[in-house]
Amino acid sequence: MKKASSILMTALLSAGLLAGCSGGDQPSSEKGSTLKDGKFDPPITLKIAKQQDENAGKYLPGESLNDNVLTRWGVEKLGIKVETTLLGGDGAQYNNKLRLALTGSEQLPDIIPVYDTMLANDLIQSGRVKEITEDIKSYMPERLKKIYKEYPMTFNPVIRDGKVYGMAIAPNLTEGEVMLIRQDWLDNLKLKAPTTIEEFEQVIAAFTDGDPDGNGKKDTYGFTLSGKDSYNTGWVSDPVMIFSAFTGKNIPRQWHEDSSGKLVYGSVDPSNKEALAKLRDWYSKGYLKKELATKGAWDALADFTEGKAGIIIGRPWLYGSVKDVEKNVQGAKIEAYPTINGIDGGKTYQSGQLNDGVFMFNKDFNQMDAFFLYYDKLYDAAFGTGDFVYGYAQGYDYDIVNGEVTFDPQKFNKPLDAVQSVGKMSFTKNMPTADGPGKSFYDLAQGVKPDNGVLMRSNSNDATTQKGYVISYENADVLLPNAFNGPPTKTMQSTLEQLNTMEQETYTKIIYSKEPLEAFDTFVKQWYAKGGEQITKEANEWYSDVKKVDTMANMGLN
Amino acid sequence: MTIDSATQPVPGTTKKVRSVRSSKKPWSKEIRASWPLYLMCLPALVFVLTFAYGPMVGLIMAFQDYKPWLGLTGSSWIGLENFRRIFQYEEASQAIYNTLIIAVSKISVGIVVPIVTAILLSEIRSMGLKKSIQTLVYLPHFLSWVTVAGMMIDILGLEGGINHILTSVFGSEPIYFLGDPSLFRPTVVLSDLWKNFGFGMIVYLATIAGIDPSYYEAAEIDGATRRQQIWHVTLPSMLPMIIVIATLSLGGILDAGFDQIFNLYNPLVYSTGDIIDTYVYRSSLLNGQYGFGTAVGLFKSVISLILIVLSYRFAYKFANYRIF
Repeated sequence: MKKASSILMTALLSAGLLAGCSGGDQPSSEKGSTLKDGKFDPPITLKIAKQQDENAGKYLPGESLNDNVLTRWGVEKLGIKVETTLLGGDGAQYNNKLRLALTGSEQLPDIIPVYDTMLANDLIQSGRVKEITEDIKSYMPERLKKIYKEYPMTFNPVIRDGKVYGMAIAPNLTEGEVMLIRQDWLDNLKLKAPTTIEEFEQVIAAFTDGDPDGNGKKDTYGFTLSGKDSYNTGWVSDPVMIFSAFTGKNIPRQWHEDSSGKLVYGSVDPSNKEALAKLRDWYSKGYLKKELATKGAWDALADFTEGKAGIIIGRPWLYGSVKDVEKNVQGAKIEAYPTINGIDGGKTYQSGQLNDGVFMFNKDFNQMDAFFLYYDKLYDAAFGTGDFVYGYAQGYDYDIVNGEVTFDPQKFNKPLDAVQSVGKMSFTKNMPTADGPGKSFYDLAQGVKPDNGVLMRSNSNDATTQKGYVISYENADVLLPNAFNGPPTKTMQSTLEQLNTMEQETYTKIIYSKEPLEAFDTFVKQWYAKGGEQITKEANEWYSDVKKVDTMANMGLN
Repeated sequence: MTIDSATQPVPGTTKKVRSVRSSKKPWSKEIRASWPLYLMCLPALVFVLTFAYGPMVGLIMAFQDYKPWLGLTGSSWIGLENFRRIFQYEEASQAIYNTLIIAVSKISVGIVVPIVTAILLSEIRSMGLKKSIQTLVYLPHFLSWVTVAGMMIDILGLEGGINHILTSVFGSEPIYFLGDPSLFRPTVVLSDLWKNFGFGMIVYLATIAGIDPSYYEAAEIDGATRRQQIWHVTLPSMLPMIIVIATLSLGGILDAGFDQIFNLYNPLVYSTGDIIDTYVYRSSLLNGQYGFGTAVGLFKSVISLILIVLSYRFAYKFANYRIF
């Protein structure tokens, strides 16, 4: 008995131990299916990899990852079954799983969204992803070609020796940043919204010393910003406008093409010194957030929401996150304005974003026509056409109640706690958009009637947010995507972080007056000496390699 | 009179008892007699071999320019290149130095303070007071650093609670605890102490509770004062436990507390506050750089191993005490 039970126990424990191990499955891609009336017969399967963030992955009862409203639509309407065979949670976990797939211990799916340039590079080097120049040329539908034509640089991360190994996921120039100002403070002090650096200085000085809230206490200041991680945050609490006012396109932490066609790094441009001198002066006078070095971008909002700071810069949706101040403080009113002009009279630039990640395809995948068919259909939601005029699925991400389209899940015929993100249920991480930095908002402002999902969604935003998007659309030319978007070069991998650390430390200490302004010159010298020179050289080698062949023409995207 | 830990049997030490029954019988007989017991050890053995020793094969990545699709056998060998990178730049050496300073300070105050508090607490007569203090100092251990750091940034900030008192009550200049390089390390060490000493204390309290009361009775009869009793009875009886904990914590000498530092530091204090883990994290160097990542891990493990072996030897030599 004793012996029997000990054997049993051993067996159980061993079984538990081995339960974690399981074999991989077989590759897909069966050929022989034909396209009839826009539908594959017999139905085919696209195996995909998916990174599922915290907002996705919540399905209605009875639905799941591989059986939900969108997958069923695909089978029924297109004869294409989308099946997730490689699933990762957060970015790091997903990347790890893809790397494991590279070692051969997990199957590489047909369609692989990749969100990391280093990993994209590994995939290309491993020779296990497909070269797709011809596929784009022959299978990409016209309306998608039009979009990809607009953003040639999104191909740069996946071009090697004139060959194209992937394509951006739903490229689109994302909305730019606007200045949110306490309009009631401006009115109290009889000031106008600033358009130049001098006017900006006057306003933040008055917001600090002029008692804008009229409570007789010196408890306000001008401008809240964050310098904890970077002086180019790119989303909220961004100080980059002040830098660009002096440096133009040489904004910190970013590469851009100079007049000679070479890539240069913004942070080390001499004109940054003037911007730092200005910020240093303002900091010592109390115009800026005192703790700009200790608070991250999101934490720096609080001062604005609490009615302590008068100006904050961020993407137009930032209004939604700070509008509580209009409730908390009596008489508070926020207004959105374009960013100021630079000292040379031109606009100030900011960091622009074109896409999050690229699609790559298994070398053995031979149904690019099916992929493009499906991908194009997903864009119906962005154009307000086809099956997806208002959204992807009625009762999921929109509903029609008494003849009215609503996006508020509580008002659905069958109310939901939150909208179902159907756009995340296949191979895109979000619903694709073709709205640029706010075209639908601009159209609405021009009096266009909201008759499709995109316009209706835009129309349901707060008035101030809508105004912000119109500003963003009208000033789309200030958005500069980082010109270096390839995999980190060899020297970048080994030294870029020390250079960034040095930059952040020097900039911050200068602003806090803990180092003299001349520390900037030392920083620039050290930056070049400690690897910056080599990095610049490598970045330019990469840049000339991706420009070597006119890949756009080869793909028929010219 | 003194009770010497070397000559007196002290609760917790059982080295006399070890190996009474082994080595008498030959191996084969022993196994035949109690094979079901050995069989039950097997899964554990397999588990350890598979998950603790098996993956160590991967350590050779530290000496390779590892590419996943080429595998361990196909990747090229680059010698000590990955290790050289750890020490190549002054920022990296500074981070190693900071790590050592912060970790050593944390370990030393993290041992002394809980011992002192445990002794003080054990002297309190009122059970209610004792228990409530114990619970109060113990609670912060269960908060996550993200939460605590958020609170600390507000409390210690230029316009935070402490500076408010300093400026309005004492009329002094505000102190930038988290933005002043010379104050950052003490702030980190003290806040870590506040958060964790209650937890460390529990072990010592248990040790004190386990001391044979007859020692105290004997000491009292000999006329020892309260203080003498602590010095000559309580402390020597706690020594083995102190050594165990000190030795084990030395293994963490290169872990200065990523969660804490990452949530508290900022560019103003990189010079004194940046530790290996935050440095490596910021550079996202580990992102797909297997060789370098393994090298950093191996480096940390080797240092820890050396320190544990050394402290074990010292403990044996000077305190005549064996942990294993």
